[in-house]
Amino acid sequence: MNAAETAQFLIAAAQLWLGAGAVIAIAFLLFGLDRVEPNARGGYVFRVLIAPGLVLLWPIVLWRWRLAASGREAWRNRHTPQRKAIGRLGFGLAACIAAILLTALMVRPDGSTPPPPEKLSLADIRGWS
Amino acid sequence: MTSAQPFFVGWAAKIPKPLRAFLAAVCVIMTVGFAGAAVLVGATQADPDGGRFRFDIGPQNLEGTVIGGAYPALWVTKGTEAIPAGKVILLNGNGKTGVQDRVQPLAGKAVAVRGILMERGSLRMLQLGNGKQGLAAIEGDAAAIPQAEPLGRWRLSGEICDGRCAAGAMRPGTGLAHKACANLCIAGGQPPVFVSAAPVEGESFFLMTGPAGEALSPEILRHTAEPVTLDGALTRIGNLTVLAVDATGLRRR
Amino acid sequence: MSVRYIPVQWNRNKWFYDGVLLAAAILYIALFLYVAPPLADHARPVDAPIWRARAFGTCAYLMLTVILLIGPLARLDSRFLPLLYNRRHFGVLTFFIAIGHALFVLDWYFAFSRTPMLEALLSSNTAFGHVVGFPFEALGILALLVMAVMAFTSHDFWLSFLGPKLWKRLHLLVYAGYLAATGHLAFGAWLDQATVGLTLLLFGGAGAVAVLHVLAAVKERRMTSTASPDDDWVPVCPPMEIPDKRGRIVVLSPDERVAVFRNGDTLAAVANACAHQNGPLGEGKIVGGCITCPWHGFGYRMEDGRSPPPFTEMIPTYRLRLTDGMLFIHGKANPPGTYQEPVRLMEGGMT
Repeated sequence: MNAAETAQFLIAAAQLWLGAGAVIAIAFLLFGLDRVEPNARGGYVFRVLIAPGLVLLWPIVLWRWRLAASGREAWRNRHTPQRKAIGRLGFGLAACIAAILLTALMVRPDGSTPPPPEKLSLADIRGWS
Repeated sequence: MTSAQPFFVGWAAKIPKPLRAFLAAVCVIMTVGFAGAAVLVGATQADPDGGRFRFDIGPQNLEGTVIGGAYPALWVTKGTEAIPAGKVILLNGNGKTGVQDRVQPLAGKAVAVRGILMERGSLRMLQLGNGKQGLAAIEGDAAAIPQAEPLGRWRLSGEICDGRCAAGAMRPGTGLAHKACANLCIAGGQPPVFVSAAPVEGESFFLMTGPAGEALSPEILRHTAEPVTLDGALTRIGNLTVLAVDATGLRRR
Repeated sequence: MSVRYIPVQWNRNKWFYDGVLLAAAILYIALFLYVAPPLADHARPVDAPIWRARAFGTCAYLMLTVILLIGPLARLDSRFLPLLYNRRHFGVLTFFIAIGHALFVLDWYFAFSRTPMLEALLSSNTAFGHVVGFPFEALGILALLVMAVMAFTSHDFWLSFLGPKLWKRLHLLVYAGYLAATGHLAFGAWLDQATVGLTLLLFGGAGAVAVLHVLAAVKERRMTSTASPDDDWVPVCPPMEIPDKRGRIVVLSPDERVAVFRNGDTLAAVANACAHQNGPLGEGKIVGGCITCPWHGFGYRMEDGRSPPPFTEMIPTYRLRLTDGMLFIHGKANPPGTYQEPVRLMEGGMT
């Protein structure tokens, strides 16, 4: 697959993804939202605001929709944030930033004068006509 | 944490007094900081030092002989003040599309062209107008194009650009940030140009072709906009210098 | 803490916050577009679309940097907490400015071609093996995608629907987004021209984000576990060590923390994580009789962990006991909203 074909494939895949998302978003807004989210009842304008997220994240929407409809979610899950992991992420972020900045510094053209043009030989030159 | 420490509640109408001065200071620092950053980042941008369209002198009406090849040019026999007879000028098309399709059938023939001059120092091109007005065959014999004069094999350092943007279609039209655009232009048929860090026989801009005068290979095009050193044969046709390269001698600096 | 969802819940503080935010962003772009050009004094001007793309791009990067500074700043000094209060609006505005940057770029560098714009964007430069000449546009697309996910899921509906844990995970993608944006700037504009301004923006901004995150993480690390997470009674402290109307955080396990609050002579324990965004309740305060979250002001009654009507949020409660002047907590949480008789102090601080 060459670059153009890859690009076309990616664009087609994105369109497919968003198309599926649109269908699921409409279904959720019509049939799911009021059942899984009591606070949504009677509120309509906010649906426009959440629609792009429903379209983009439709697999998560489907999963949460099922979970919420079945009422099987463990309550503990909502009250135990991953504080330790978040702390470690802070170190990771700093390390990655350092790596990016150092790489950029190292590869940066040093501004020195490049070598002057050098004549190699009078070898056979195939002409340009 | 003590009982007395100020506590901010977002929905409450009142912000605790000790916090107010602090937050006011944060607001001022943020606004002034943004203003300062805008001026600093904006005003220190590098001078694009690029070319330009010469709309100021109007469209140029020329006659001459088409020099065919991967990237066509015109040997001018009847010129203007800006592009006098006896010059070779590269031809390019609107946007990111070359003019091969239109020009190639007329290779070696006498034509009349009309277009806008683009120039950056000695790098000059003509952006052809659309339709017959931009390019048409004319009656009469085509004047012979000048003899190609070999200048030998050279090792050169510089940057592979798309000639059109480098000549003034974009400012800046060279450099790493412009790489994807350069590739798009060259893939579309616009002439690639090597901008040498130092001149060879007074010239720093070279039209680039493959070793046999064909279009540049994708291997070489992967290195557009990067600082490179490459080996190639220089040939002079009138005032146009052509650099024929293959990928073997190419290295990144 | 809505009863019924509305598009945006504004209040006086949020209006003010958004006002300052908008003023700073507009000021940045206006100065960049209209004041910087004469100062730059170029012989021939940079193309207007490129200049605009640079204005919006650098503005978005600066804003993203400030957004990432707010978290660690608030952890290091609680006076910065009000900046966290409305950070989501900050993020959404940044996303729109980044979109502006992308559109200016797309409609200039990738326009005027026979190749369709998006296809041109994705296929023009594929030198992924190069460091100098890397297709930095891909990093920009990644950053924009992350910002889109975050902006699109910023409504409170998403917190409730996904649960705070998953929502937080999704929004931690901002780290990946920031790294992508940093790479985009470093290997694109900065390698192209390492001007004083870009150098300060890139190295100053990303450097500050890195340093503050390390400092905050070090501070967080000091909060070590005081107990093993079992069903046993765990000592906390003598009750009067907890300042009136304030809390103390007990770490039961790395991910389970409890907030023990004292309101005069009454003591109660609830989960440390707010039901809204899992904000640290133990760093909050009792306001109007309710434990109030320092992040967005969600309130819970001490005795049952329920938000007062009409609100419906609930958090788990914990059993407390006072023995020999020492407060103990039971390691097993009650389900959210369970009534738990608070501990009352007698005169002299003893039951």
